[in-house]
Amino acid sequence: MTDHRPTFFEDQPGTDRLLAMIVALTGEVSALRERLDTHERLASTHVAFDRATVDTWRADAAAAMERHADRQALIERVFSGVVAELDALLTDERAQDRLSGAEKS
Amino acid sequence: MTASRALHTGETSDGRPHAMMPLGTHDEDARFGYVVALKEFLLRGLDRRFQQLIDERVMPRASEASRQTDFRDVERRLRDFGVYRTWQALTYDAQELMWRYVNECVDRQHDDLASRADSDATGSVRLTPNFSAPTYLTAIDIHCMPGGYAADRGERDVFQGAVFDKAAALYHMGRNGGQLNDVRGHTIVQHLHERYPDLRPTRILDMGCTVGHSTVAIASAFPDAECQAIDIGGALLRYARARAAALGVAVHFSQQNAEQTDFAAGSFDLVVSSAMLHETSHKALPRIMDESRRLLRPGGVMVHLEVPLRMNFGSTWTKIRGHYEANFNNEPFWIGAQSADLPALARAAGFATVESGFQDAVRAPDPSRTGGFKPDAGPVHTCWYIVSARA
Repeated sequence: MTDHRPTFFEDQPGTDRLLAMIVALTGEVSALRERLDTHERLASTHVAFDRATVDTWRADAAAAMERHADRQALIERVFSGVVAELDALLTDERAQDRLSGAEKS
Repeated sequence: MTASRALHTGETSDGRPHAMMPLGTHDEDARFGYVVALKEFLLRGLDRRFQQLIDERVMPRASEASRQTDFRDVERRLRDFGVYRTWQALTYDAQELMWRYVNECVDRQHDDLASRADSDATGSVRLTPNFSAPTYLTAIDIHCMPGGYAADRGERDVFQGAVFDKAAALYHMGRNGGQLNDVRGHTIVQHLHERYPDLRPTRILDMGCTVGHSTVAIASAFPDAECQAIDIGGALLRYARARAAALGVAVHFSQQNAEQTDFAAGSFDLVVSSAMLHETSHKALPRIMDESRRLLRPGGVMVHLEVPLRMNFGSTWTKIRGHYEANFNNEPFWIGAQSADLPALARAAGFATVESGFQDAVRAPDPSRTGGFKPDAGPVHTCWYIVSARA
């Protein structure tokens, strides 16, 4: 039980922490978006509801699928730059040579 | 999609959540859903692209000489690319966040869980005062789970068990039997049906049972047998007993080290473990095989199930992924266990005929099915590596 957080960006102090905060913040946005979704679904029934109604509302299978697709889309929008960088590497032969050890960089 | 659906219904196969499973509030469930979606993105969006980059683009360009080089050389070069470090950091963050979310959820309802555990006395828990757990389980928190398997606040504490059970369902993203996480247990039973069809165990031992995910599946397949299960943490075992009871199964849990138990020699017909060996050590492996042999009566059967990623035939990216798992998901023996010759260790322990291979993962064992035990591995979660032998 002597765990400590690893540092992946050793030469860039704060970058690890910044990424962790973005990941956590995106989680809060996602949870907030989901709460809003619950409000919208409850509002569409035209019956008055309060905080307790929201807290105890549970998605049925169809709603759960829609909400999961929303989360996935949110994550893809936030982290799209990472995917784009990887896609660029997939066509970057110079970088691939460098990674293979065939070319000393 | 089906995986996420199973997760969010929170139900057992008969349609109801088991009575000990911690339940989330609206917002807790939303956060769990986010962390699952994030893990899916890391796997499908990033991991698969890295696999394509390294295994399909980079390695074919490597010279014959450098293709022979260790995966560690490629991993070192990858660190020059920010996107690789970003992937590492995001993978770590997702795991850390999962534990934080689950800890908050369990913390809020711990008193209620402890009371629920007390409401059904089925089975038993035997703890050892001043128990000394092996250092490979206490030196670091495996899977980065705060407090690891050992943490125990005593008396009615079920915290670590509840956290592990809730997180396991998220961690496996529905691929290991949803909320029950019992695919590995069913897969062991299927292996017994296929390779040891005459076995009718009367006494079963599950080593490294954690909260009894596999134990309950195995005990359910042999309802007339007495089922014993061991692990190292008091809070883990108290929860495991109550969970098994909630599922209608009596299991006798005790706090013991699988390298040396206090059970009598020849007192079991079946000794099993599920994904335990990779959380031990090179020194412990032969001792666990010896102990398995000692505990079995003549004709009894040992089955150890492990992750199907054998380092000997994994691709370069699979090995780099394993390197991450070992170093940053706190699985220090991940690579060691996958490189170890488990059948040789079983033979050295005195088992004459040892079987090893990959058993197709099943959600329900079927005695009439055959051909599920194969020499070659399939993708993760579609099969499990098994080494088994008859004493």
